[in-house]
Amino acid sequence: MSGRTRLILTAVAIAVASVIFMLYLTHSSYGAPPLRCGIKALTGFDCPGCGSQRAFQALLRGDLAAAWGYNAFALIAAPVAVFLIVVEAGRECWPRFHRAVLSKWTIIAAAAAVAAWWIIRNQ
Amino acid sequence: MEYWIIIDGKARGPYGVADMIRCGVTLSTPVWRQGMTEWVPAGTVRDLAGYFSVNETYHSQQLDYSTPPPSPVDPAARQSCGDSEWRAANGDDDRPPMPSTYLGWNIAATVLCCIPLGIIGIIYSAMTRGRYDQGDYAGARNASKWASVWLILSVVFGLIQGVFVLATNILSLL
Repeated sequence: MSGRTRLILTAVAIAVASVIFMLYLTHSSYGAPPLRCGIKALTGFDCPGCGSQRAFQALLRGDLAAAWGYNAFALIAAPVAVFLIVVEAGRECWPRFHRAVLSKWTIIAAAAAVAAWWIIRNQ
Repeated sequence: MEYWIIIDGKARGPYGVADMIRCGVTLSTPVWRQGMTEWVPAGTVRDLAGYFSVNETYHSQQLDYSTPPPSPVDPAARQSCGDSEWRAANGDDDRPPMPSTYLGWNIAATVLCCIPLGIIGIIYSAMTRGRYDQGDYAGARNASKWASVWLILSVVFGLIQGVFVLATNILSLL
């Protein structure tokens, strides 16, 4: 394992641990309110990510309906993002598959979906 | 553009660039193509410059130019390199692998970091792919780099905001 790989793995592990810790710290049964989104506080608009924390907390509780209500886009985007990350991480092993999955239209669709979600949720 | 290479003292070819790299060509491997007067190290061929990793070191002392260029090129002399299955699965096009677009990471950052900077990263993902399709591989690598820069920025600003918001939340509890 190269030094760079180890560095990336460590960073990912720390990030995952901090997210779980934050979810635990702000879990509604623990007493603390969920973290307020700074963009929302500043502009009054929901950004594409607003509610994703509560959505994943609701998912941890097994409350799918509540999770959907907090941020439906995050629930759909999470597995897609994980899939894309795995495809890109192994792009040297499957260059053609990588090119097929990360097509121009995939990227345009992703950008359009984020933009559309941002507009729709602020209607 | 097809090249002949000398590996283990044997001239082989002709290969497309992708095949050549898979054969284990390094910066110092002697290569020849039609129009060249003699074998030259692969590292000095301008068209091949983008295909080597920057970490590769140059061993000029390993050069062996004793074998004369195989000319004229006889297509029947083509030798396969590597397994045919790899070829069937990946085709033998001459394009280098596409750089990472960081699309998945930028989507995750957009959704999780509360800072919609990931969207700028997604735009650079699209530029990476667009330039790659145009054959602008250096431009594609550059766009890929910027996609990762915006990813890092959105994570860093997301963390700063998270810490700030967490601090205000904790203060409000006191």
